[in-house]
Amino acid sequence: MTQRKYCISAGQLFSILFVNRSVIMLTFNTLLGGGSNLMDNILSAALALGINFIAILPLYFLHRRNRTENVLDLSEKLLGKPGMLVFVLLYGLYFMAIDSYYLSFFQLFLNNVMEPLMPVWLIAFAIVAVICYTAYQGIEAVARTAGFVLVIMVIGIVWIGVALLPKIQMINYEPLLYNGPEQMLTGTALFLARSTGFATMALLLPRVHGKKKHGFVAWNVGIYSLISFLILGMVGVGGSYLKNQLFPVYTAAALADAGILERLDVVFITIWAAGLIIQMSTDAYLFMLCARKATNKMASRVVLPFGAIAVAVLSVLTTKSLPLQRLFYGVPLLFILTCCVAVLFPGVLLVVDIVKRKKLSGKDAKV
Amino acid sequence: MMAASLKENLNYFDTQFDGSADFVMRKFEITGTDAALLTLEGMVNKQVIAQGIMNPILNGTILEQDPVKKFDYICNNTLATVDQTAVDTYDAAMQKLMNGFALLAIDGCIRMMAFSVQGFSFRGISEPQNEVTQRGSREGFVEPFLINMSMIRRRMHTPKLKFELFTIGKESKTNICICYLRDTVSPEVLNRVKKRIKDVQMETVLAAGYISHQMVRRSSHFIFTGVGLSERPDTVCGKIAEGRVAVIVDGTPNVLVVPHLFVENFQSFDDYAFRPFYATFSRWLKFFSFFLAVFLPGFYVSATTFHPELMPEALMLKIAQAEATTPFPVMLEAIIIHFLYEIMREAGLRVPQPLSNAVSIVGALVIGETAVNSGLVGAPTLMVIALTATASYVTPNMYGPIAIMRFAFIVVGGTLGFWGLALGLMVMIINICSEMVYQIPFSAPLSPFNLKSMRDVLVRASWRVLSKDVELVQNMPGSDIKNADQKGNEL
Repeated sequence: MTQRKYCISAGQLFSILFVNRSVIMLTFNTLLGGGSNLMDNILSAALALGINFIAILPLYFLHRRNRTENVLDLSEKLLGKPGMLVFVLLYGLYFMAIDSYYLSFFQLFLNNVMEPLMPVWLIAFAIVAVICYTAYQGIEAVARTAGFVLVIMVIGIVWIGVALLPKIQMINYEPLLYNGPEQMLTGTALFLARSTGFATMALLLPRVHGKKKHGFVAWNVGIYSLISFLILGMVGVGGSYLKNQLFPVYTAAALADAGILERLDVVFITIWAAGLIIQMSTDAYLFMLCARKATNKMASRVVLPFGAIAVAVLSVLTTKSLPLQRLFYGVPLLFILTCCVAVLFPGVLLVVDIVKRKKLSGKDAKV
Repeated sequence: MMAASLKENLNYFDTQFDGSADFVMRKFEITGTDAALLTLEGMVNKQVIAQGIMNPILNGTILEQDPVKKFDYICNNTLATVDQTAVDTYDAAMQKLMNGFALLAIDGCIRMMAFSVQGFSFRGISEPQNEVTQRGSREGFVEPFLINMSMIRRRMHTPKLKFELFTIGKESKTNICICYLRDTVSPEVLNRVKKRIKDVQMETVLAAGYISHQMVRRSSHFIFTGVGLSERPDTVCGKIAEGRVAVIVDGTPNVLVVPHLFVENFQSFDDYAFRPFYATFSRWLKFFSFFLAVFLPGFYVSATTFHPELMPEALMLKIAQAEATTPFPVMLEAIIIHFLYEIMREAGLRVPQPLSNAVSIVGALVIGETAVNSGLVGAPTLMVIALTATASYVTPNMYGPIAIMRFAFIVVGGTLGFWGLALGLMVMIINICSEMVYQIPFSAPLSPFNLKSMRDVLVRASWRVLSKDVELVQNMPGSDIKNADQKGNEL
C-alpha cells in the first residue's frame, strides 16, 4: 500500500468541483439538450442530483477499501502494468477531450456573441498557456485559487439572479413537462455528461483529507440549487426568447441591470473565464498525473505543453468544423465517455478488488 | 590562538591593518609589565576609555607579578567598565575591534580583554520615512542594530523575548540579530530562518535587502515577496507576538520579518489605533486602491480599444474626442505616460534637495500641461495614470509588484482586450496562491479560508474580539508546520 501525503482539504476539492460544474451551468442551452422549455432543466438538475448519489457508489466503495490509492494506482495493482497503461491512456485522453470541448465552447461564444477584434485562436492559446502555468504549480495552488474563484462566482451568479428578479414576468413560466419528459431526460444526460467531477475524484480522493461525504453532499445540493435558482430567474425574464439563444445565461445577464449598472454580461464573462481556467487547470494537472504514472515526473512536465497544444488545436478545429461539432457537442459521445471514467472503470476495479480479496482470504482460510 | 608575547600579538594587528590611519595602538606599562590598548579611531568613546580603563589601571595598585594573574586581577578588581569579554583568538579579537570594542593586551598573557566602549556617531531616532502613521509612535529604527534591539526590548518587557546574533558576509562581517518570542515562535520556522542566515554566501552585506531574497525559498516567477520589511519597532513587536521572526541587520533601519503573508500588505499600525468601523473602511480602501492601481490602466486601454460598449455613452464620446487628436494608440500612450511618471518618481527620489522644486515644476509641466496641450497624449489617459499612481501609494509595500503588473496589464489589455485582463487576473491570483512561505500558504487566511481570521483581514474587529486570543502565523489554515514545543516534541 503506498503512503500518500494529504495535500488538499475536502473543502478545497469540492470548491474546485463546484467551480467546474458552474461552468456547465453557465453554458447550457436548449439547442444542445433539445426541447424548448428551459424550465424542464430544473427537473433535469434535480434528477441529475439524485443520479449523482447513485453513480458515486462504485467510487465510494472503491475508495473506502483503498484509501491511499487512486484508480491509476489500483489499476496497476489489480490489472498489472498493461491495465494501468490502458487506464492512464483513457483518463488522459478523457481530460484532453473534455478540455477541448469546453475551450471550443468558449471560442464559439466569442465568435458568435462577442465578435472580438483580436483573433479568437490567440485567446485560446493564451488560455492554454495559463493552464500549463497553473498545472505546474500543483493541485494545492489550483485548490487555493478555486477558493477565490468560488467566492467571485457565487457572488456573480447571485448578483445576476437578484438583478433579474424585478424583471420576472409570471407569464413566461410554462408548465413543467409541457412537451413531455424528453427534454428533462436529455437535459439530465447533458448535465451528467459534461461533469468531470467524478473523474477528478477518482484521481484525487486519496490526496484529500477531511469530511468528504459532507463535502460531496454540499457540492451536489449547492450547485444544483444554484442552477435551479438561475434557471428560474432566466426563464422568468426571457421566456421563450431564450430557447433560441446559444448562451441563454449570457443573454439573461445582458438584460439584467442593477441600479445604474447595466449589462451585467461583464460579470458573466468574468466568472465564465475564471471558472474555465480552474476547470481546465484541474484537468491539465490530472493529465500530468496520468503521464507521471506511466513515465516519471520530469517527463510528465514535458508532455503537458504538448497535450495543451493538442487541446488548443482540437478546440480551434472544432469551432470551424460542423462534423466535429456534431460529434463533440452531441450528448451521446460525452455521456458514454463520462460514464466510463466516472462509473464503469471504478466499478470494474471494485469488482476485481472484491474478487481478488475473496480469493486471497479463501487461500488464507485453507492454509 | 593568540601568542603570549605582546610583541607578536601587536605585530599581527600591525600586519592586518597595514598602517591604516584609524588603527590606534596605545602602549603602556602596568607595574613593569608591557601592555597595550587597541582601538579603532571614531568607533570608541575616548572618555569612557579614559575613565573606565586607563585611569583605573594607571592609578590603581596592582601587586600581582604573574602576567595571567595580573590580567585577571585587573579585569576583576580594577576596571570600571560594565561589558567585558575575554578573547583568545585573533578572529574573535578582530571581530570585537571592528564592533567598537577596545582590546587590552598584556605581555605574557594569551588572552585579551574586550571592552564595550562604542562611541561611533549615528543618526538619531526619528520618524520613519516610509511608514508614516497618524496616531502611532514616531520612533523608527536606526542603523546600529544594538539600538534597534533596545527599541524592541523597550516595548516587550518579557524575558521570553530572545535575541540571537550571527555574522554574515566574508568581508563585511555584518552583524545580524534574529528576534523572537520563545514560547510563541514555531521551532520549525525558527530553525529554517537560522539555516537560511547561515547559508548566506556573500562577500559583503550592506543592507537588509541583500539577504531578503535568501530568507525565503527561491522562486523566480513569484511576483510578491514572502519577507516583510518594517521601519517601525511597534509593528515589528506586533509581528513577533504572532509567532514571526524579526531579522535585524546592522547598518539598515529596516527590519525583515518572516513569514510575511499577502494580506499583511493591507495592514498598517494605524488600523489598530482607530475605531473598528473607520479601520475597516480604511482596510477596504487599501484593497480597492490595490485593484485600482493594478487594473485601471489595463481596463481603460482594453475598454477604449476593444470594448467601448462597456462605457456609458457620454463618457465614451468624451474619451473618443480626446483620443481622436492624439497620434499614438491608447496602449502606447498609457505606456509612455507611465514610463514618464516612473522617471519623475526616480528623479524625485535621487534629486538633491535644492533642485527638488525645479524638478517638480518641470515634471508637472512636462507630463501635465504641455503633453496634453501639444496633443501628444490625451487628458483622460493622463488622468487615469495619475489616479493609478496615487492609488499605488496607499499600499507602498507593494509598489514594486504593482508597477510591474500595471505595465503587464496595459500590454495584455491592449493586445487581448478584456479577455487578456481576465487571464492576467487569474495568473496573478494563481501566482499568489501557488507560493508557500515557511510552509504557510502565502494566500492564507483568504485561501484556504479561515472565518476566524477575517476579524483582522476583511474587517478590523474591536479589541474586545482581537484580544481574546492571538492568532499565531504557524496556525494559519493550510500550514504544513507541525505543532511542536521547543524541543520538537509533538503536542
